[in-house]
Amino acid sequence: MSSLNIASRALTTNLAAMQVIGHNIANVNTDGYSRQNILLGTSGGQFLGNGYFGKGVEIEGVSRAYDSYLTREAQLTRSVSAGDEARYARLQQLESLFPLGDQSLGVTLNNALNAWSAVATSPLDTTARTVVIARSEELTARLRDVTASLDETRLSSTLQVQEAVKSINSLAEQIAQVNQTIVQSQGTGRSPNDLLDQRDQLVSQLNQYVQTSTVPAADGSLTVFVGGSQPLVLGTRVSPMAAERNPVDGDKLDIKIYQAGQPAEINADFLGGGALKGLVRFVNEDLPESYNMLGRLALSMSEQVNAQHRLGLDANGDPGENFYQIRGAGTPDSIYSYGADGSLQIAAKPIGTASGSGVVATVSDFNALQASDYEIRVGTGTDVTVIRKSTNESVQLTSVPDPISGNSIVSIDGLRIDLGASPANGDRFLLQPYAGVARNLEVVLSSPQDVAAASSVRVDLPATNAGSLLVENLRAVSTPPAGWSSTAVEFNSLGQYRVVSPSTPPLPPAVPADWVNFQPGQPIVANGFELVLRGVPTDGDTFNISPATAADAAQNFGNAKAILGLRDKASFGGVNLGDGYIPVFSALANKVQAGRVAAEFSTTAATNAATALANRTGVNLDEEAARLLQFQQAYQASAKFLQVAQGTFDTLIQSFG
Amino acid sequence: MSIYRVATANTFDRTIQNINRRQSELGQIQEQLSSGKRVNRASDDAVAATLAERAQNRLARVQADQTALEASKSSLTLVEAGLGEANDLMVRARELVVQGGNPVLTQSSREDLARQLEGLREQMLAVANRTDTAGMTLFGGLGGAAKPFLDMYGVPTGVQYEGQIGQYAATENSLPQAVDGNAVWMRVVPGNGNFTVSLDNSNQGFVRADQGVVVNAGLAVGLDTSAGYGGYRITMGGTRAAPTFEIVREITAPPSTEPVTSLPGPQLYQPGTTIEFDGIQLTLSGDPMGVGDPLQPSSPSDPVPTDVVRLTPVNQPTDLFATFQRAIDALRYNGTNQKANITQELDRVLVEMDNGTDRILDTRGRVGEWLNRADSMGEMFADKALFHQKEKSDQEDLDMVKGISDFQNMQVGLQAALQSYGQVQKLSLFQYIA
Repeated sequence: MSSLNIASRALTTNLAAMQVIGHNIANVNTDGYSRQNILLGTSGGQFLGNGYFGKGVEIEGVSRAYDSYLTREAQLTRSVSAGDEARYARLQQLESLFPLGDQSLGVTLNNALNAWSAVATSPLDTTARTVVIARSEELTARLRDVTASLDETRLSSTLQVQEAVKSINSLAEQIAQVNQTIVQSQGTGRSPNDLLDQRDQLVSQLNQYVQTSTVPAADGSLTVFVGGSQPLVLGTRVSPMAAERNPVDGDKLDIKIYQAGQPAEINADFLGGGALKGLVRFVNEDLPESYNMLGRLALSMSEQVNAQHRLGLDANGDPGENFYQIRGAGTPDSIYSYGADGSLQIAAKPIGTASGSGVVATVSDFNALQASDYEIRVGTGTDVTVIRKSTNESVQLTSVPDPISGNSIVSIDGLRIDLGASPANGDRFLLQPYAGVARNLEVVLSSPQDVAAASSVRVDLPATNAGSLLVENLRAVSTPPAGWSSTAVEFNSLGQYRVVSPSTPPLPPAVPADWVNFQPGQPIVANGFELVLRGVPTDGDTFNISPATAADAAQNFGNAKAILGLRDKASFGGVNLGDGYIPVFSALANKVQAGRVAAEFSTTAATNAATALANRTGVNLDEEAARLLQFQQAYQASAKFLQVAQGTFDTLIQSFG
Repeated sequence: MSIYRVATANTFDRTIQNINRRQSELGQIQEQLSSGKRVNRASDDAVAATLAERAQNRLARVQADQTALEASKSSLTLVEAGLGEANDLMVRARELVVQGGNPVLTQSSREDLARQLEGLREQMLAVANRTDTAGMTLFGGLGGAAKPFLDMYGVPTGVQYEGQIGQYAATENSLPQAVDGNAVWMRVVPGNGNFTVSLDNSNQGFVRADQGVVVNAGLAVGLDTSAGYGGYRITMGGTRAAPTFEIVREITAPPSTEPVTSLPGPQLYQPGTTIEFDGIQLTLSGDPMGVGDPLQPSSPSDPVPTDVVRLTPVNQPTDLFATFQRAIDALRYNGTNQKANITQELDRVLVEMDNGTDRILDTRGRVGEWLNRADSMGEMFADKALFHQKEKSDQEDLDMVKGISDFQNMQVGLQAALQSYGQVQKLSLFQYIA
């Protein structure tokens, strides 16, 4: 009987083994499937007096090829690469908004600036003036277009973040369900291989969206943490995640996790990896930088042109107005407004409720502007902390009182920040100088007559000048002091000059002024004008500079030349205004390049880890074929043994028969 | 379970991934080949993109400068033509003035000459107020009124310069579009530059003087207006037989005179002899007696009329239009000493006209030099444009030879990947079990 038992069990066991192999072969292409192995053991022996006789084979269980280290490695690297890939794809899309060559924003910018050349050549020509307005409108339209495309990108990226969060929550639910099933099947004492595979696969999918760390519990359930230590799945309970708009800066997203209905914020830096991290980084860091870069270009260009334009005289001899304006400036909805002198003022938004006065920033140095947002924290006394958001650098500053208004002033990155008369300790403000400029910039001038091409200062040479010292350029560079009526530049016999202003009203520099060595072509700056002379000075040569009158306006083009000269003004950390598009696209290009390298590297790492894992746990068909033959032969041998056992039994029966 | 084990599905996956990568690389180089550009996006090569953008901006600027240069050049051509015309007008005016000096002319022929000179003055004014096609004045200097030369009647009379005195300089990449008309027409040196010689209208004799010359400025105290002097007065006297002259320095406030130390008191007058006093050389000539009744015929003891020759210090330049007017006024002068006066005045006019012509020619020469420079600047701009174009191309254009060779390499690579994939995947144990 025992032989028949051995034979029949061997048959079923080998058949079962082939079933496992079949299962392996069937799942060769199933994602997350781990190769299963049948575990065989002898049924033990029976002592029959003359020794132990084996009772055949029996199945001890079915195990799966599993390596917790490689599985985790594959999940983590996949997660990082999913984050990098998501960000890189978005960055590429962003880059396509900043093309090079003939369609580049730089061409439009230069067209707008170079158009002043025609006005400087023929200020009486209405066509030239109209072209300046048209080219500038083209530029503002282009800036608005790019901003609209950026908005579109932001919208779709935000939606993608929401989709990722939805997927995370759905996967978390599924993991919780599988956890429950696994806990329930624990009673059998056997490993539920396919359920474990399924759960591993779900965790792996989850890791594509957000990096997790997992801790198995004794009851077989798996606890999943995100963002360092926040439990997303705890046994069968799920704490859903959410992406919400930042209450102060509505363009940024906060990632939150709701535990028992209570939201807890997850710092995006702690997300570790996954598409969510890549996308949140894109929305919260990369996009704002592009907005700020573009906004800084728009602000710097428009404000510098405005400032020079205001110093000029239009065709009717009236002082120039602002050339550009930010649409909506001055309304309660806008953070922008224009001061009495026409310069731009930027209000900061309070974070929470501010008990002190409001905060208003103005530009003091265009060349020092950084494309960044700022958080301003008022401390005790004159202490002020300003956080540069682009670098997350915190700068300690001491406020100084304004000599006229007495308000507390701090300066950072070319911005002069007026904290008002009574800044209150603990008040926090968010200052976003650039984000809204490009979107709303427009040309405010409509009539070509309003283009202020003429200089507001004139130079008069007494007829006694020798005539070998020529005027290369005279332009107004700032508002002259109140009551200014004239200033003279005089030369002595040594070829030195001095700058003299009348003593009433007392204006600097008055007599006796120091004689200064003259260099042809070097600007002489005083009382709001800049005079460039070229040639050989003669003793007694005098140049009288005074405010121009309306009658001077028609034949003068000094201000158009001065605006044209802005092309060469260092405006973006040493980059000329005319080359202003370069920092915009090169910063982005470096990001895209770095993003590509990161994506390539992490994808390679992920592929390698996946290969290592697959090599350990995946199915090799040749191997399965070999095993199939192996168990097929064993099955055939078992059948033969059954036949033999049956034969001996038959022989015995026949001998009695 | 060993280091040699590979998972079948993963092998497929990896191979597919590799083929995909090769295809994407091939697509990339094909994009470069078809666009001819190595840098299609800034991230392809951020440095090259930056340099190419800069070159493009410079190129646009050179083109703007070129347009501005063309405008300046056409304005300067008009200026040059205007100055040429002004020179022709001066030549004709000079002829008329020389003609006017002829003593045989009748009053009516002089009037005719005066009318012609008036016409020339009008033409000169028209030239000076000329504008370019866009309405910019050609001779407005640094700007100012749309009509820089304003002919005024009343107080003050004469042409006023309403432009802005001064001259824009030529720079490395731009030229002025207008010249300082003041320097051309309004800066004529009166007389010899130190003083002018004039005859009083009440003169009766024919004494006149040449333009004189200052040989030692340090001694000419009478010309020093800052010290309160107002020039010299030469008064004729004596008798017909022994005419005399007396030179005194004039003091402006209070009006008085003081004798010239080197030549004190009345001196004997010898027509045509050069006298020297206070570092000034002057030649007086002409009959000190007049032609009218009752002086003719006269006896040797008759007194000489107390005619006055004045030397007025020059402290500011006159203008060419005033010189024209002086000639016109002289030709129409009909006083008792008409003959002496015409000669005296036209003498001075000729000197001033020559001086004015020199100024016109000076400016014309400068404008001619600028026009030459415009040509060389045009060439420089063209060279620059070419340079920037090349720079841009060097940075962003694809080296075709290299591009095609890369393309072929990659093609071979993809082919090899596909072939080996097909061959390796044919090997399976299942094929042998059948």
